[in-house]
Amino acid sequence: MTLSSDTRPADGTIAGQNAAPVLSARNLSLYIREGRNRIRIVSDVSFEIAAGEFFALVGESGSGKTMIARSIMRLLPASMLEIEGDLEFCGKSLTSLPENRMRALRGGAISMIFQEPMTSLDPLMPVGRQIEETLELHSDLNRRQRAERIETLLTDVRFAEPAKVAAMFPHELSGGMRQRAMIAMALANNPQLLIADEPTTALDVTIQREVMEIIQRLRRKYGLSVLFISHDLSLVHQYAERVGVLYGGVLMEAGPERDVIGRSAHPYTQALLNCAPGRRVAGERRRGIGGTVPSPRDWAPGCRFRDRCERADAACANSEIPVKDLSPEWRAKCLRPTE
Amino acid sequence: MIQTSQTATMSARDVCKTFHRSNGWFAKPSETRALQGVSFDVEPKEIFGIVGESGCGKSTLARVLVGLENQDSGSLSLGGRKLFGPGMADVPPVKRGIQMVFQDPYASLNPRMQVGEAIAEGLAISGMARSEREDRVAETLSLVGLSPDAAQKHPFQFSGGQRQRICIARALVMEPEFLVADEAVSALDISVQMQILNMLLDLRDRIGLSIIFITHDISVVEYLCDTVMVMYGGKAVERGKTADVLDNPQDSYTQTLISSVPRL
Repeated sequence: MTLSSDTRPADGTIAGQNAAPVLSARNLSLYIREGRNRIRIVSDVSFEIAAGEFFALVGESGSGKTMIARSIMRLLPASMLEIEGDLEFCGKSLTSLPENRMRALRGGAISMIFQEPMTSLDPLMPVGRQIEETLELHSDLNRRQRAERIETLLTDVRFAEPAKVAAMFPHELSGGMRQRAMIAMALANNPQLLIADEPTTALDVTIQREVMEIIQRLRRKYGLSVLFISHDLSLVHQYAERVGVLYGGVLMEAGPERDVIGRSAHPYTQALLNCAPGRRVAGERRRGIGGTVPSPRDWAPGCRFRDRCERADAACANSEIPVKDLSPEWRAKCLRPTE
Repeated sequence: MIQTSQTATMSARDVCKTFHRSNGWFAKPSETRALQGVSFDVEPKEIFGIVGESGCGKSTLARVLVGLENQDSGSLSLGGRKLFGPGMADVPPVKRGIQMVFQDPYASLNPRMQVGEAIAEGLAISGMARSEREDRVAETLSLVGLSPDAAQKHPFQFSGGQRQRICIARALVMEPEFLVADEAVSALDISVQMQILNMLLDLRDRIGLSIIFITHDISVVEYLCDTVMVMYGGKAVERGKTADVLDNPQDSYTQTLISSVPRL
């Protein structure tokens, strides 16, 4: 297993025929610096993403989902974000990787797309040139091959006239087109893992569907694993194969989508699903969740959700909440999950 | 007790608004036809949803309704009385009976002003005495589910959901007949969003408030609104009872929109 990015042919044989997951996080904890103190923002999160799998992390703001994504890419320096525990990419540790090796991975074997495509694109550079930059860095293609590759990539994300789009500047594209250009750029070096941090939140639903369908199609075509970060349960329900639900930096429930969303066991997941608006009969009120998400500075020992939980009692304040296995691949961190 | 008149129907007829943008000294200015003849009626105590994608003109319509923009042509009336236009200069904005709540509760409150002052500002402008203002502020705060001592705090001491409650209180204290809410729950977490939606439903039942709720989120419309108007390209393409429009959309854009919404 090599970490270099140019090992897979563009015609898309599936990565990682071996059993090792593409990404695994074990007891991952993240800390941010605040003056002399460090504040824990993610505690003991473990999950795995298999080759070709669509894994979604869902949570409200402040749940730590974006920080987990950034820690995988190590986008923040160690002085700002401390990583404890293990992060492994294709069986190799990412946490101990020196910065220059990490650099070869970013945009190569692991790539990322963000919520606001306008701020992630260089406004002064044509789209094609920006894609070419990542190709120059990570591959040994010559100029002509690069031009061909750019055309294939832009066609892959459903641009009817790839040559025309390659010559355009970001401000000439609409939000959905920019996000598609970002996806083309992210896929330039045949990554094995695509991290998508709320990629459709800023887009209209009709465009959202277009972008999601593109991600889905390319995932199948290239055997890509996707780590999808979202707050939108209905979107996750539609596209994810496995789901992890985060609350206050803790992975509350994780497992196959049909279990976690279909028949959730954790009271937080259930409450969250009950918050989703939708049709109601006259006079009906969905219950929602009282209170607000606690800030990392106010985290007390025990279950983070207990103040807002209907099933909570004195035992929930104990410091250790066990993770219960509900099936070989489905688990919930709760004292009394519904069976 | 804060009450609204519960009798006024809002009517918009053929509202048009075009924005002009200069392209430099010698070039022809470009035009954006944001609203192209939009008409609708909102009955008393109705929650009227306006949906559409970004750029469809829904926010421009909201701004026209509260008088932040002037329409080019068409008329707006509330309970038979004309809202804007010639001869309307003598009705001060605070007496028009329409108030607005914006998307971002962080940006729409003055960080240096105590919450009580912010809520009472409109009352002060309309000339109400201080002691009376304080009573009204306390009453309105409890109406939106905040404790009266919130009046002495500053916006940074509140969460996003609480700030949106403050913004709604600031609108309601003027006893409007209509509340225009432009993407008022879009910036909130879903657990908090549900609290605000339920509060709006309760306010309608308790004080008879009519609400024009502008959003891009079909599932929110489904939960909250009695009637919905779908906008596309500055025009109203479909209008009707929420359940009818969602179950049996007639317009091709509405059909695309509804089929694109991910469902649980």
